Amino acid sequence: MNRTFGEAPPTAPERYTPANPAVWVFVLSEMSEFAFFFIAFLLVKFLNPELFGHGAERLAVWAGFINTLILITSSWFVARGVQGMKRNGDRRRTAVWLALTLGAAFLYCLVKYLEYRWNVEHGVTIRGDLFFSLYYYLTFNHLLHVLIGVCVIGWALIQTLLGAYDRHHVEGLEGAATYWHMIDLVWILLFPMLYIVG
Amino acid sequence: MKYESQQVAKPYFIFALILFTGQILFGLILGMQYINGDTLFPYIPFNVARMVHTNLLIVWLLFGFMGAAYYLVPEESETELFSPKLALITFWVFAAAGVATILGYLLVPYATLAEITGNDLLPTMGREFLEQPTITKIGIVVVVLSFIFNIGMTILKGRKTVINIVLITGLIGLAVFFLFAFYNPVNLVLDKYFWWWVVHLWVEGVWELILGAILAFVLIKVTGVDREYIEKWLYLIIALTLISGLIGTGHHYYWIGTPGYWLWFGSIFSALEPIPFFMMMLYAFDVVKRRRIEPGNKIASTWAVGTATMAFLGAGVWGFIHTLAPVNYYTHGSQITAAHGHLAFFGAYAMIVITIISYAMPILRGRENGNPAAAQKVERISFWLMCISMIGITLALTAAGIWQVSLQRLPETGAMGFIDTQTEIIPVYWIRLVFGLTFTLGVLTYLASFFIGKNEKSATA
Repeated sequence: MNRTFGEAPPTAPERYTPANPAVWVFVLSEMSEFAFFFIAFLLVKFLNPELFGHGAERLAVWAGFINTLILITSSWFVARGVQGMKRNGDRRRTAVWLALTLGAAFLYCLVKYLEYRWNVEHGVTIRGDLFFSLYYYLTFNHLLHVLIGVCVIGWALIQTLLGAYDRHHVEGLEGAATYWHMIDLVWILLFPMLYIVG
Repeated sequence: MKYESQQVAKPYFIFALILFTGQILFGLILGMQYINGDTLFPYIPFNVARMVHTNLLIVWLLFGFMGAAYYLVPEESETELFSPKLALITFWVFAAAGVATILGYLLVPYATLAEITGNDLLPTMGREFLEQPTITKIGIVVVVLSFIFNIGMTILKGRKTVINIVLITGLIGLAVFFLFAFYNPVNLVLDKYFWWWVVHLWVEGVWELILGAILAFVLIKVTGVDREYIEKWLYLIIALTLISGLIGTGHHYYWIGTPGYWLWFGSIFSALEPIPFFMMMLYAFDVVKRRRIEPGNKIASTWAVGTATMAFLGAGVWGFIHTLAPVNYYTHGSQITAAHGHLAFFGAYAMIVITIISYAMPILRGRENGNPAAAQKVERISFWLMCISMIGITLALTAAGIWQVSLQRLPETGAMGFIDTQTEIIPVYWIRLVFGLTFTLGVLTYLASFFIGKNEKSATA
């Protein structure tokens, strides 16, 4: 880009907020909710250090780790979906990316199911102690959010197939992707807090 | 202003704001009584202050809804109000009855009030929010019927719009469900069962229709977006409201003696209740983004979007927090409920009344393009003061609730008693009181904005 001396600089690009601001209010309230849970978890941990010392050792770290990989990959899928629509208006490609996101979500649920079954076999139950109660509460709550996310991405997929989005109208798609990233972000914080540090 | 008879809305709005201020002052008294129970005892005991605080809320919102209807129905119907005179008569009757009732609460003991007003002839007193003497309740019915008659006749002789129909449906529902205030079964389970038909089916049912209609009206006016587009959203929102809200009544039926299936019905349907509120917020932002005009009255547009947002947070998010039966098992009737009550009532209903007042009052005062910029600036400060303070009150009460649940409800052995728990929580009640004071400052700032730039005509569009 060559500008001759003295030429006015190009005007700053207009500030762009992806998705409807309402989605951001929703995402921020969800994140505040999880922040409260995290604070509660840390407070309980601070008050019961002996209980939390060995809690993480008894959890299925492999399951948490696989789900971390699945969710990060799913976020990449959904981002590619939005990108496909915004760059080329390519409905079919976006639909494939969204379907892959849904596939990852189902895989996450499957791993969660295997993890809970493994827990029962290894005597990790909700009434075990305070650490395990919190672990179940937080991970089940996150699972519920993944299920809401499945509905949201499913909706965006149907809308894509029906031709509701094109290169210039991606607000709904961006909203769905934003929500999905929130789920991913929460898990990225949840995983080390519960499974690694404990 | 398009129709002369819209002027009858003005006394309703002014009186609503006076009662609102009264409600907040009693809120401050209560805030202090949570810290020191003997504050103002024996003149204004806690139970009386609480009754005045909640009753004033309901009455000022009713005045606000009536003012809103008298303002928007003639404009929507494109005709003068059926009878402005009747509207003014009902105003004075309602205002006099309201003031007399509040004075009754404050000046004589509640039992004496029941005796003087002949409660034994048709006993209806003593239930939360419906403490009014039977004679006042009959007065409310007469006022509401004459109001609906007036509004209904106006709609019948004029244009029928979706907004009008949704509004009148909500208002008729309000009147019909209030009749359950007169049904007072001896059996406590039945008593609670039908009591919720007034309380829940008002705030999580028909009032949402009124909210939706007023919000749609203001959004059309301040954005210039097509009526058809806004109406589609309105249809979708009220359908979802009724689908989730009606059976959602079940979330009040947990463990009060009703059949166990309410645990499932209540949890599932009330978990859906945030959806219409989320959609309302989506559409408010969407419509403002698509606006075709730049309104002179910018602050009315802020209030409209603010209402949708705060209603979502208060009714949607804070309602969801404790609506599922397994959670509610521990949180039932704790300060978490109070947190939800405050943010939901403010966000959904107080704010929608302030929205229509902020839109309509300048016009009623001859400022077609809204208040002068200086007044709007002050009003904007009051908007943020009130919203932030109410979020502060809600967060404080949520913290109080979590603390209360952990001391009083969670322990399976050695749980603390109610009063001891309340004493433990006092530090959080101080924080709540500070936010209560800043909220009061917000209300006073809002009232002050009406007196700024009196000599200027209007904002420049």
